[in-house]
Amino acid sequence: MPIDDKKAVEAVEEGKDSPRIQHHLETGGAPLDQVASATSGGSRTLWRDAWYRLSRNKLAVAALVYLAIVGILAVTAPLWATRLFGDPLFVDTTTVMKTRFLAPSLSHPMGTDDFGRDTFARLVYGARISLTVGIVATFISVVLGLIFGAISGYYGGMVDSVVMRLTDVFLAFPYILLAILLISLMGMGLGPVLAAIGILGWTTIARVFRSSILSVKENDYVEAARAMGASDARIMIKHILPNALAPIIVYATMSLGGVILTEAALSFLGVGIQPPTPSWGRMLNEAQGYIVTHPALFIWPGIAIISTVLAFVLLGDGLRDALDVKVNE
Amino acid sequence: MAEDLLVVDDLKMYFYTRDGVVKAVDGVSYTLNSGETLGVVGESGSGKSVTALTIMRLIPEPPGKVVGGDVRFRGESLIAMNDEEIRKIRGNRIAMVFQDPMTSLNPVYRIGRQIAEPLILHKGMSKAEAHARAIELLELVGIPHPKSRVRDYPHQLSGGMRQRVMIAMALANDPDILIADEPTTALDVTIQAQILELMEELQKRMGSAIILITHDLGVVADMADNIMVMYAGRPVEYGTVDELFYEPFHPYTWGLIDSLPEYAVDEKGTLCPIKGQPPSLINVPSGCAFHPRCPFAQDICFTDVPQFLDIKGTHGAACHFAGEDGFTRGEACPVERPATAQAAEGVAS
Repeated sequence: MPIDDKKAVEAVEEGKDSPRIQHHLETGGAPLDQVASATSGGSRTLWRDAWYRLSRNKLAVAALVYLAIVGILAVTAPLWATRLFGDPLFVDTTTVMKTRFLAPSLSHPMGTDDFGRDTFARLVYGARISLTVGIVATFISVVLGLIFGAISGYYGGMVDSVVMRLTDVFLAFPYILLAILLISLMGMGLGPVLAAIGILGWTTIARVFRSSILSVKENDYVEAARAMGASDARIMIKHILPNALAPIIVYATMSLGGVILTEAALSFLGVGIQPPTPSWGRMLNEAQGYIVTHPALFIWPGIAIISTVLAFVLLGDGLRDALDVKVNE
Repeated sequence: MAEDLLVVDDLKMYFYTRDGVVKAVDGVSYTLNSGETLGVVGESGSGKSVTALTIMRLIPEPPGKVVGGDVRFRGESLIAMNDEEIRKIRGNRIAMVFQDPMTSLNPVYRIGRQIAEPLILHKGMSKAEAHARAIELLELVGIPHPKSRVRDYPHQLSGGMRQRVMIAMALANDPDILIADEPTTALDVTIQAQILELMEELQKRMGSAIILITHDLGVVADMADNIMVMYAGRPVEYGTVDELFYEPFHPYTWGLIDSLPEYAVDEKGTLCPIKGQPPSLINVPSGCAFHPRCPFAQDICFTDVPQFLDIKGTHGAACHFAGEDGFTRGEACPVERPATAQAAEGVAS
C-alpha cells in the first residue's frame, strides 16, 4: 500500500505542468498577453494547487505516507492480526507462564507482554482506538467550534462576547482534570473519552474560526455578494466559510496529534480505555511495573505515540504552508 | 420628460461613533432618469461612496443611521424596505461595481459560477442555464474565449479582466441602475479608458442608468450627462457636463477644474491644487464647509450655511455668491487666499 501512495505522489510530480499546457490548448493557443494575464497558469483549483504544494513538501509527504500505513494496518487488523500473532485480548492462563515476556521473533515481531499477548497485535489494535479517538473527538470539537465560532464571528456584539467569555471559562480549567471529571460523570470507556475530549476541545477551534471569519468578512467580495442580493445565510455558507476554513483544517490536523496524546494520558492514568482493550496509553500504564526488567513493553507504544503525533503535526505544518495563498503569490 | 427612476430626497446618513457623530451624507438630493448617467465627484471623504451604499442599503446599522430624507426607486422608498424586499432590488434592479477588482471576486469560485450567482438568485435559473448565460455575458464584456475563460479562477485574470467580470456580474440581470464606485481607480490608465468605453457601450445597448462615482473630473466629462460635485457630505454644485465645465458656479468646482492637468498649469507649468485638506466630518467647519480653503471667503461664509439653489434651470450650487455678476472662474491658480495673507501679516506685525 505505501508503494501506491508513492506512485500517486510521483504522478503528481510528473504531471505538474500538464494543466497549464492543457489550458493553453483549450484556449486555442490564445495570444501571448492573455496567457500572461493568467497569473499562475492553467485552470487549477485552489485545492489542487494546495495539493500540489503539499506534495512538494517531503516531510509532509512522509508523514502522510506513515499515517496511511498506520491507518491501513489499523483498519484491516481484524483480518490478519489475530490469525498471524494471536488474540490481542485473550489471555490463556494455562500457558501464560511460558508465553509471557518473549523476545522478538518471527511469530512475535515485537515480543509478548506480561500476559503472553503479542505486542505488535496489541499495538495495531491500539492504533484503532487511538485513531478513532483522534478522528471522532476532533470531529466533535470541529463541529462545535465551527458553530460557535461562526455565530460569534458573524454576528459580533453581545453574542460574540457571551461565546468568547464561555471559551474563557473552559480554558481557565485545567484540561486533564476537567476531562477526568467529565469521564467519571459519564462512566469510563471509549464513548465517554470521545465525548469528554470532543466537548473540551471546541474552544480553541471556535476562537481560530472566529478570527478567521472576522478577517474574511471584511473582504470586498463579501460586500459584493451582499450588493448582489445574497442573504445572510448564503453569504456565510457560500462566501465566508470556504475562505475561512483553511486555518481550521490546519489546526484540526495538528490537534489530532494532541487528542491522541490526551487519550494516551487518560488511559495511562487509568480513566480512559479499560482493560483488556489495548490502547497505547493503556499499554504504557500496564508496562509501568516492568520498565527496568522489560523496557521493550514501554518503548514500543511510546514510539507509536510519538511518531503518530509527530506525523500529524508535520502534516498540519505542511498543510499550513500549502493552504497559505500568500506563500503562493 | 422621462419618468423619475431614482429620487434621492434630502438624504442624511450619519455614523454614530465613539468620537462623535460623523455626518457622512448631509442633505443630498438628486433625480436620476432612465438611461441617464450621473457623475458624482468629490475628494475622498466627501460622502460620495456613502451615498451610493446608502441607496443600496449596504451601510451597517449601527453605526450608520439614515436620520432624514428618503430614496425612492420607481416611487418606492428603498429606505423603508425590509431586508427581503431590498435583497430583491440588489443585484437585480440596482447593481453595483466596486472599486478594486482584485479583491471583489471570491477567490474560491470559478468566474462563471460567480456571474451565474445573481441569475440563480433573482431569475431562478438552473445552473446550466445560468452557465450558458454567463458565457454570453463574458462575451458581451469583451473577454476573449469566453467558453474556456468561464472556467477560470479570479487569480488567473488580470485586473482589467476582473473588472470586466465584475461588470458582467452587475449587468447579469439587466439592472435599471448600475452604480459604479470608482470602477477604474485601481486600474492602469490604458485599461481605465477601455473599461469606461465598455460601460458606455453597454449602457447604450442595455439602457441602464449609471451613477458613476469618481474623484476624477476627466472621467465624468466623457461619460456623464449630469454631474454632482460633493464636499463634506453635501452637494455643492449640480448641472449638466457643459454647464459645469463652461460655467461653474462654485469655487470648489473651480478648484477641481483647475486641478486637472489640462487646465492646471500656470505660466511656469506648475500644477495648482486646492490647498488644505478636506474637513473632518465630525467637526464640520461653521458656515460654508469649504470656507477654510476658499480663496474668496467673506464674513458670511464663516457664519451662514449656504443653501443649495437652482441658479439657471437645473444648474445650481451651494455658495452665497454663486451666479453673482463677476463671480466666475477667472485665471487658473488664483492668488494667495486672503485668510492666509492676513495671518502672515499678523505674524509680521
